[in-house]
Amino acid sequence: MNFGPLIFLGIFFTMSLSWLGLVLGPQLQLGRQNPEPNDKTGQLYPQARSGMAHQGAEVYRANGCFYCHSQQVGPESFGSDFKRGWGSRRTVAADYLFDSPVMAGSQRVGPDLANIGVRQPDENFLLAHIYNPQSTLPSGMKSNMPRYPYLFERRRISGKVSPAAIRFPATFTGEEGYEIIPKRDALALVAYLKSLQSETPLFELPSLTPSTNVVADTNAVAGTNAPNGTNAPAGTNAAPSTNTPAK
Amino acid sequence: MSSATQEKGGGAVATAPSEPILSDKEIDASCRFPVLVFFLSAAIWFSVSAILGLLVSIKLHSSGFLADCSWLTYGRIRPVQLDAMVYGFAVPAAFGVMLWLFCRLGRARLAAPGVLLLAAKIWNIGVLIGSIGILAGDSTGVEWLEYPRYALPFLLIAYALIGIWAALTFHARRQQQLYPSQWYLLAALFWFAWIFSAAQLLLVCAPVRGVVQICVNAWYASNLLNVWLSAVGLGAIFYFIPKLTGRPLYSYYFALLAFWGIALFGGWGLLPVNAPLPSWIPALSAVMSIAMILPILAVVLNLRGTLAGYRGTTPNPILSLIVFGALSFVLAQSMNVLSAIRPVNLLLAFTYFNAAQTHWMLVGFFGSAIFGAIYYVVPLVLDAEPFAAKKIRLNALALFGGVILYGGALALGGIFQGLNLNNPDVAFPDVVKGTLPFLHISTLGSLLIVVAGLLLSFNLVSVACRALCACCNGSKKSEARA
Amino acid sequence: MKSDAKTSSTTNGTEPSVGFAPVPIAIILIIGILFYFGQLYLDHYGGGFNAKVYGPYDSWDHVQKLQPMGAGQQVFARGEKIYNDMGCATCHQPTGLGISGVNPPLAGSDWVLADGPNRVIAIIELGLMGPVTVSGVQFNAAMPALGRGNLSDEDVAALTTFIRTNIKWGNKASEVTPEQVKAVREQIQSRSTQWTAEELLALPVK
Repeated sequence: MNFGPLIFLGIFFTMSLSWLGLVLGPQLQLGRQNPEPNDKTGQLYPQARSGMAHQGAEVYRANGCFYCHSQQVGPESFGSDFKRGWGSRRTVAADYLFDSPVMAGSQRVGPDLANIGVRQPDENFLLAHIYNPQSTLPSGMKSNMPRYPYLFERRRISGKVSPAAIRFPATFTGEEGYEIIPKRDALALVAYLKSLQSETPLFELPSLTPSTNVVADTNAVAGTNAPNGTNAPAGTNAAPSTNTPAK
Repeated sequence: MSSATQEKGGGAVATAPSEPILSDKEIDASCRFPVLVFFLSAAIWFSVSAILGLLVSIKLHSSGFLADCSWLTYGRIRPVQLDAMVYGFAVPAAFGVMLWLFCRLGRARLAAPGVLLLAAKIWNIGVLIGSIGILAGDSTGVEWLEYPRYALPFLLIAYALIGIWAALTFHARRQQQLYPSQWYLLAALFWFAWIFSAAQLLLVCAPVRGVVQICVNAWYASNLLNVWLSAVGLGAIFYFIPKLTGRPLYSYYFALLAFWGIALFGGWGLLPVNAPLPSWIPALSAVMSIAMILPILAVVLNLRGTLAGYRGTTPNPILSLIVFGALSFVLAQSMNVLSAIRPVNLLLAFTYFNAAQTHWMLVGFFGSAIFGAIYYVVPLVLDAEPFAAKKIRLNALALFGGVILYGGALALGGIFQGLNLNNPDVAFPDVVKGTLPFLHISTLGSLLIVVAGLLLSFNLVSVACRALCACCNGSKKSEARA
Repeated sequence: MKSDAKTSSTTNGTEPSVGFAPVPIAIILIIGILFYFGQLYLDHYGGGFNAKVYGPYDSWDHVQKLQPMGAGQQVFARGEKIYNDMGCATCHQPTGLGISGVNPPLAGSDWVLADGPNRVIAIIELGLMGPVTVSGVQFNAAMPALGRGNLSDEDVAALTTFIRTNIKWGNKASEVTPEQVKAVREQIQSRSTQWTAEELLALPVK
């Protein structure tokens, strides 16, 4: 009896199971997700990146930054992402809608970057860090991150220092007499990093501490739906009455 | 030829004496050039990947090393190293083993060796173009699929050619009864085509939206490393261990169980619990990954039954390579199962432990098994003298040492890294500092792996040159054999 | 090494053969265990396979319940809390149906669903004593004063809003503002005894 075709179908089905569960399922659920308006501000979240930031994403991709840096923050209860200041909320599907490719990373040789735009908005710091990571660390601390001098131009200072040059921390003396001008790729990369922000409160991430007194806790969730005017806590007045009915 | 072996499935030659029976020599001769070229490409790409791996390993603890050139920055070398190991070493080696086993087990000649030879060259060109593209900055940004789009046509055309003629070779078999390795390898043949095309389409050519890319990427990576690689590697191991020990494979049913188990449970990704996905996706992935216990058990019991009480008359370094591969399979898959358990996953999510697990699969399991296969098969297809046991033993020792040092150091380093990462009192630079000793040891390991790769390449090249020169100069060959 | 093998591949080869050792029953047991614990795990951590449920939330309901409330919902929730904490639920029941013959219902009550809330505010403020007809049914009221001195204008507004807009009870009247409460309280400031039904009916509803 020729079991061949049956076996083939059986193998095909068995192996397709993982495709159905891990590709088709998520695609059906999340594949058409669109930016949604924020309850408080009415603005859509997420927004598409600016041109420079978009180009910066290309630089990030071409140089393989995601092999050391992840871009996903876990919830407060798991791990120490919150305590390390890597984010104030976890990342969810909505945060990656405009990323292509999604470079969420799978290793943390370096810190997480999902919220770096909020954590470190200083452009100069970021440029200095990319040019020479050791320059931005206090002495005694060693950085494992490689340098990226090819994203910059190194010129001897003649006369005035160019306003576009990186201003290194005072502790760094490596480039005496030279000024480091970021090239377009470096500026784009920094624009991309500054665009990495995942702080906007979302429907799927309400505060985990349900208020026992709903009235007192009107500002429990940062920003969204703060009601107007019912702020007076009535807790003390809502105590069980000890009045006996006046007969 | 005992009739006993004929009654059991799988091995003996067709009984009808009037049918032309192909001898092993004829079969091997028909496979000669494609198999040789595949194995040679595999060996060379292995060495390339190993050298890049050494660079990567050094850069991890001395980040300034060769950092100033954009073509040598860590973020570009790392994908080239990994992809060269998979697409440069693993896939051609798989083709070589598959073609030879289809011929030998099916007792048929290789179909269209000329086409296969051409396909091998096209595949190599594709890998080369892809690797250079990544170094130049054209990486697609998708893990395991970083080859830029212009490299894809070469890979797809080559695979199509190989696939068709490998399937034709299988179809032309005269031995109808199937040995387990045949279905493992046949499934792997079609399976790679499916996952590679689907992943390229959904991630590179017409990318799906948002986090679905993470799902597809995890699906592809686990199908590649846990399903396809296992299928090919186990196909080889289930053939070579019985072949080298002269004992039958313990149980057809265990082989079946392992096969279906890997197909069902292997491809569900090993997503971190905190991935930015609705919680059901990592949960499902974890459940399926833990269920991989079943095929691991099946493989362990099968091999234990086959090898129980075996005492070879002389130590066989090829057998030691194959057995090391089998043990690495069990270790690597057990690491996977462990990482799926929730608290362990939370601990080890973004650490070197995952890199160690990939390494054990690719180099420890697949690499070792294939090295053994290559050392066995190449002298046969070239009709040359077998390799000297000393050479094979040296190569094996270098490989074992490299894998254990590299994989072991990274795994332990990953555990410490995870413990530190999850402790918010440890500042991040201190987490990094804590991993440095392990990284130094792993560099030593990668050095040994480079040595192993170079030894294999050198041995293959010298044997090939010798045999081919002798072939060209026919009289010299007959003199040498006299 | 090749000579070690019992079969030599230079002869018309015996390729390896395969045995048929049976799979132990224990494998079925293992499959069962995996299936069982897999189901448990998915139940607990799967979030109901919902696209909007992320860890550490357990389910869609959990996410919904934790959503911050809109202003109206806040008031309603506050009123509900007062209804329970002040002991209203003891007599009028959490269902708002009261106890037949003893405590009048609030659900569907014509007093509650009147055009304006003034009478209800007055009752809460000073209590009600004596015979009263609620939706055609006669009761003998003995409700104590609860509002004066205990509840602020906002509290009374929340409580009355809760009673009047409680859809679960079938009540769909208008909401009550603290200003309305304040106005009524000023009106009845001088009084300090419980109401009777006749006196209340003399009060304008709005």
